[in-house]
Amino acid sequence: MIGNDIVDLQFARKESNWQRPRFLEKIFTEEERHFIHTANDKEVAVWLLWSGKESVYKIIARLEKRRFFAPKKIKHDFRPIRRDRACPVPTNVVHTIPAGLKPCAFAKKMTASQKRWVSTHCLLYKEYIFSTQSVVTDTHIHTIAQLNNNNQSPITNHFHIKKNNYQTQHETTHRHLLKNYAAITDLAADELTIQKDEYQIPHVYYQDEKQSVMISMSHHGHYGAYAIMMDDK
Amino acid sequence: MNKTELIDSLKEIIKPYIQDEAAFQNLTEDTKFIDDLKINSANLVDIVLDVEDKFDIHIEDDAMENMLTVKGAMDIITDKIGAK
Repeated sequence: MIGNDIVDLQFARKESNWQRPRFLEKIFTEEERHFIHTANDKEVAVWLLWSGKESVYKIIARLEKRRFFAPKKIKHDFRPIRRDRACPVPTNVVHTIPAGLKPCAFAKKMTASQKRWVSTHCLLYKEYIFSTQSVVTDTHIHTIAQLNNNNQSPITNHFHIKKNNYQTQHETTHRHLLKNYAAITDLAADELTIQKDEYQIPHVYYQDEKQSVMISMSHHGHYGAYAIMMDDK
Repeated sequence: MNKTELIDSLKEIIKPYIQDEAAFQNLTEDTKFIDDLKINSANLVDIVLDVEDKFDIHIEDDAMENMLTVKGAMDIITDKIGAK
């Protein structure tokens, strides 16, 4: 299963004041706050961890078929990755990561000189263990979360959106996703639609037929993103 | 504080964060913050903090779980004010 989330850093700066009293305490565990306070770039650390929680939440909403707001129940696990904890490593993520990027396990390594990097994390919720992979640039953060990847590769992309009003963000994200899905499946793009079910979970339809693919979409400010997992269980 | 007054003060709090003006104009108890008003999830935290400040209450994590709708928020506020 997959979930994804994008953060427009400039937009976040304008719309959210993470330095306001009690803001971090409402969202982050003590360990996560420690991670933020000791990071070189605290602002990026805040949105990196937030993006991880959001992308994981999208998977949980599917699993439990419910909506809730409990960011502290989805926790980052900062212990070194060990085999006995079986945190699924996101394999073969088909991502538009520029060549030459080095994955780093923990975001503390971030410095101003690193304009783009990949950060992987392990997140816990109840008995579930998720893995996330974030592409971080100086303008945005895009995170893909996975649970039981079954050796499947999610197909994902993110893109710039000219106008940051909701309607444009929404339509652009749908268009990008369906165009890619049409190319993969050889189905006619104009026969494809995205519809949300009663739990607000999006599904792809070809004509009136629900497709077995799992999708996740996100938009924020001037950025949009999606992830596709074919034949997901 | 009666129901109408409560909804009015809630509306005042959430107005800066909404992205769907029509849904805001037609707001009812069933209106959902994210799905209907298109509020960014990060701003839900701001709404929780604004509500705490405005009503001088403390919302615990468990109560915060239901802060996704107008009714959810109203129930928490009524409950907390009653307990004061």
